[in-house]
Amino acid sequence: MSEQRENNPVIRYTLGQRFVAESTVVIAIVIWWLTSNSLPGGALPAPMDIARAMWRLFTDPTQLSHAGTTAMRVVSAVAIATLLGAALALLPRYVKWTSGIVNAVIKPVLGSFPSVGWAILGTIWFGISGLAVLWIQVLILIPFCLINVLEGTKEIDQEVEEMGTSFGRNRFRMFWRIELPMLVPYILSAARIAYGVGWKVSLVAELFGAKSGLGRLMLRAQEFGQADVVMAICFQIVILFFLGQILFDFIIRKVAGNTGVA
Amino acid sequence: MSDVLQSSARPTRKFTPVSIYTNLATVLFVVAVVGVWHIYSLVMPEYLFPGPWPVLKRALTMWSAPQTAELALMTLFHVFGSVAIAFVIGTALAMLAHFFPIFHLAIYGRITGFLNSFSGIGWAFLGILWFGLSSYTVIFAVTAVLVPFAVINAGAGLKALDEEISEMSYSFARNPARRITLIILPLLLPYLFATLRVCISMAWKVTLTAELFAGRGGLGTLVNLARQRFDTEIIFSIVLLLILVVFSLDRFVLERIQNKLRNNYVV
Repeated sequence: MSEQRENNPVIRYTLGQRFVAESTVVIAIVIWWLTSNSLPGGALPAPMDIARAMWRLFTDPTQLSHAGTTAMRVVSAVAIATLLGAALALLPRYVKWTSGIVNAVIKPVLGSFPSVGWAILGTIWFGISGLAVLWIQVLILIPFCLINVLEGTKEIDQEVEEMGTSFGRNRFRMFWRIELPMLVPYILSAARIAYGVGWKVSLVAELFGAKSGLGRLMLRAQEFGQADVVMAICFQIVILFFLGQILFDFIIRKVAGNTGVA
Repeated sequence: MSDVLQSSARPTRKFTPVSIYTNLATVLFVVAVVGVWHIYSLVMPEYLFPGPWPVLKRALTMWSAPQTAELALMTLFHVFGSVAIAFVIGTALAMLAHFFPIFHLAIYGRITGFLNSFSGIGWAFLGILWFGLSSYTVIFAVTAVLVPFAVINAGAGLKALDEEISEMSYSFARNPARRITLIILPLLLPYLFATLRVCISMAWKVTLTAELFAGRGGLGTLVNLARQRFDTEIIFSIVLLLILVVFSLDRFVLERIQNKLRNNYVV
């Protein structure tokens, strides 16, 4: 137990550290504001312009629908990629001869495949559609989930598994009752990472293959030289990214508490 | 001690029936994938799905045009330029947080957190608005994406530094420059190299995206031109080439150097 605590220390920051951290943010905003005042109009929008653009993004129904569309795509892609990644990671545990296929072929090829390659090929094959975006996102996210769940399978407690075998030989029951609960924190952690990456790659996918979504909105803003909208969309993604991470952390803590696996 | 011996011992390779089946299955899988790719390409239009042989041929013949080599060199310049800048900035930030813990939350909680969640495409578009379509924009966007990875990796290395050796060095010499150059940097070398490895592997993929949107040179520009002309063969060839380069560089060069460093510095 103490070892577990050592591995997952909760960092408590001092008042001084908090002061320096918040001061850094304030100084960065002040420098940004001063620089935007000294540059020709539009090159670097002032913080207030970004705040206004962000307000529009969060309140205007049309623009909010773009964010909603992207969010739906990200969540769906994360769910599909987590399922496929976990299935691929678990395959060598049950079908031993597939370990080379997963570890030496699928993992490195998907891991080194450039995301823009998927984006272009997706658009060529499926045209400009929601399916193309989903396909692109899923293929980019799978290696992140695969690697995380693969690490999890290495950490499965052999003694608990042996005990499970001594109580019952049914392979499915063993998986459902023993292995899956032990893997859940790793699967959730994979989903958390995929969610973070998903927001960032959603723009790549939507720039090529979508008629709606934040990526499309950003492309239009860039074509019209609206730096404030480009930056506001990036900040909106930062906010949605952090909100999702907080939600995932909460779920992971709850699940870890219930399963006893940290 | 046993750990040290274990890590430095060269593993002996045994061919068991299981490993033979696994290797055979892997080879058959690759052959099957190429076979399915070939058959599917026969029933699909060439601009949608070119076959493996035309792609392989194009991947080899495209180098006869001097322009391709020029573009590839430009990509190399973008990759290694941004890796170098991101590595220096990331390591400096991680060291600042380690040696002056007052900055820990500012660096890990604010700067790295923000950079990590900011979209790479966003940096590329902002770069276009600020620097125009140029190599500066590509290097700026790729560096911004790589910095958080460099900070996190270098930070993990600094966290693993042996406190006792650091303390011993402090008792032998009070000069901070001597302690950093003679003790801390050699101890950090394997971790710094791991940081470099992560950055290089990531940089290839990010550079291609940045070049596609913001570059006036590089393989990303070539991919963009091919996309506009529906020249799928070129796109497949560059993707194939990139997978081979990234995988080979990582597995046969960087991993070997890292293992050597790990053994030399007994991490």
